[in-house]
Amino acid sequence: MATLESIGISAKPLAADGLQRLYLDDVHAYVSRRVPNREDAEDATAETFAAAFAHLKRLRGNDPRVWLIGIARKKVADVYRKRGGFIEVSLDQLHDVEALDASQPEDLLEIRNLILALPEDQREALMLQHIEGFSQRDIAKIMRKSKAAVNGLQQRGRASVLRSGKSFFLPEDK
Amino acid sequence: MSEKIGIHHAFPPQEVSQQLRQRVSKAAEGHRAKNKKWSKIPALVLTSAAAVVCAFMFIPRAASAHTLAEIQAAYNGVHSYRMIGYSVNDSGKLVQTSVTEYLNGMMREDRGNQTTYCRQGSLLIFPPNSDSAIRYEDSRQRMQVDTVKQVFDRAGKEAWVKGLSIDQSAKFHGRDVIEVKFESMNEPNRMRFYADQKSLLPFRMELDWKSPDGGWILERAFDIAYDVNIDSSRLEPPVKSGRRIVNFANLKQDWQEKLDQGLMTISEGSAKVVIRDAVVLSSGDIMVLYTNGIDHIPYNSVEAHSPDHSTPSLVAVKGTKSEPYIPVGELQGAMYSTKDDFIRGFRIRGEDLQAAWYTPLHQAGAVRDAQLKFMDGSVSVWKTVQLRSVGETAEWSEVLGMAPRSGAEVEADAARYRAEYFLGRDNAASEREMKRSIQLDDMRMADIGEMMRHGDQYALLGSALRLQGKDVEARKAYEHAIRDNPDGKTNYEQLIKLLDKP
Repeated sequence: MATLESIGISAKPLAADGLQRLYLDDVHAYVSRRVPNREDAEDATAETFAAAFAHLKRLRGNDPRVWLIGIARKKVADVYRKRGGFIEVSLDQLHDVEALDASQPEDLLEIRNLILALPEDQREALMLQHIEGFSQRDIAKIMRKSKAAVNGLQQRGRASVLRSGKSFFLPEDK
Repeated sequence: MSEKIGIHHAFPPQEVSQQLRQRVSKAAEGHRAKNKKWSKIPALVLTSAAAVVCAFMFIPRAASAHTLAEIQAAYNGVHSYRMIGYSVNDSGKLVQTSVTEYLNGMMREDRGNQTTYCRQGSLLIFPPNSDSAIRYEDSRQRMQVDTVKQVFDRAGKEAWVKGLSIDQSAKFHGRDVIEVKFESMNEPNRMRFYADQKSLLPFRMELDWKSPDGGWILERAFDIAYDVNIDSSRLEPPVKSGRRIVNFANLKQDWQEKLDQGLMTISEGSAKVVIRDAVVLSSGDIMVLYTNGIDHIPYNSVEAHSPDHSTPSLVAVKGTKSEPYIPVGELQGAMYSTKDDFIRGFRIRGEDLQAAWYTPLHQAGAVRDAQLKFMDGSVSVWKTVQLRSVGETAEWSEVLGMAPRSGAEVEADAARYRAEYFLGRDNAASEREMKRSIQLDDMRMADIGEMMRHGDQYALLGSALRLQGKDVEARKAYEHAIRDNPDGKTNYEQLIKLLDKP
């Protein structure tokens, strides 16, 4: 991963620049996967960075990506809270997945529904691992749980999905 | 692509739009600008300094530099001034909030029940309801006329403003004036100042905020009179008043020694956590200072983190009868300011001092013991720690380099966190806590002659009310949220939803 120094940013006052340059795409990807409505997603991403800039001191010693995703998670929760639950997505909204066969969008929707049907914590623990690629240690920080608790959530989530007859967890696919 | 599809395909991310990139970029710029100018000034002083210094944060472009350079030059002859600050209250009326007096390098500012003195770079703050005052040796002379002149030196060298206009023959209440007007590049606000055509000194400054419909709303105003008679004895801090004067540098040293002792050591295997201090406020909030072997590289290298240098924090606090607590967070105060580096961790024997703050969910009043457990697994069982009761002022805040954090401030924040916790779980409790948080904030700010903007709090209150079906009250809360935070788009949407209801 690029470091702030590697792109010529080292001084503390510039931390805000470095954060957004390095992690805007990651944070927005995280948010937009959970908030399909573009406007809401952009608001949540912008609010994540606004909150991060306002509390830069808290970054000290933390992995910036983990720290930012932790903040983004709260912003996403705010969107859900305001919308009154998980936001559903239509098949049309998945059309821009690159390199898919015409027959596949239905499968994708099915996978999506399987994941969305999981309890919130299990879903988040699985998505953070399989989609965002975080380690259990990082997920524990983001979700403010112990590593053991995260492991348990992932095991239960995976078992639920497998019970539904689908084996979609292909690390080599990433 | 693989034969099978992975779950990441089912959750495609959106591209970052140019608009979003610009929006975040602007926020970063705004943060940088704010830090550059203000980070070293105790927050309590900022608002009044706005009258003189803030106006010139918005540095003009070269084209207008000449007029502004003339105004700058006019300041050379200023030996004293009296500045009266006003804020607009909820009824839209201007009310006096501060008086600042300056005489030959000495300054006094009165805001509510708080008085601040400044001379030769040393800042002394007498907070309300406190038996001690804090002396900061590094105020950078921000509140003195010299600083204004320095800021003017940079006129034309940076472009932080938009829409700068200078009207040499404007009128202000019938008086011939020079009007200088500009908008901030990063914030929805605008400064106007009116200078006397003969002396060229600004005698009136006004700060406007952009309203939701694009109009301008007066937020603050300042009247300044120059070369007035000021009794110099008023500018001398009342050192004989019996108040304790805390020198910040000495305070830091005292606490370095005090925390060096440690209250208790908790070991498990090779891991060791030393509790350096553990206090409980009268509100029941628990704050813990501890070290656990972590030795961070200073903050100015933000890449100091690594898997081996992550920040373990308290995972849980509960009462001895398992009373639940929720984390408010790592204390920002676990830092102190230095001349060279605003943010450095407080270190004890080469280890970084960690701080955590927890607030009780259901319990009111101070307790004497609490149980702690640490996140990194080094101490994975509950350990009981004896707490030290402290008064209404969290003295730690002094220790750790921040201005005194009053009990009311701690309570207001804690109530807000409880309100967030209860939202969706117990909405009546959420409503109660948020109202309390707002009330405490208002009282505290009134004490230091300030008015608080509660955009986020009122939005959250609106949600708690809406979830209880209290639509009329929710509507009022969202309206208030929008007034306090005209940028909060979500608040508009919520309000529109409620307005659509019969």
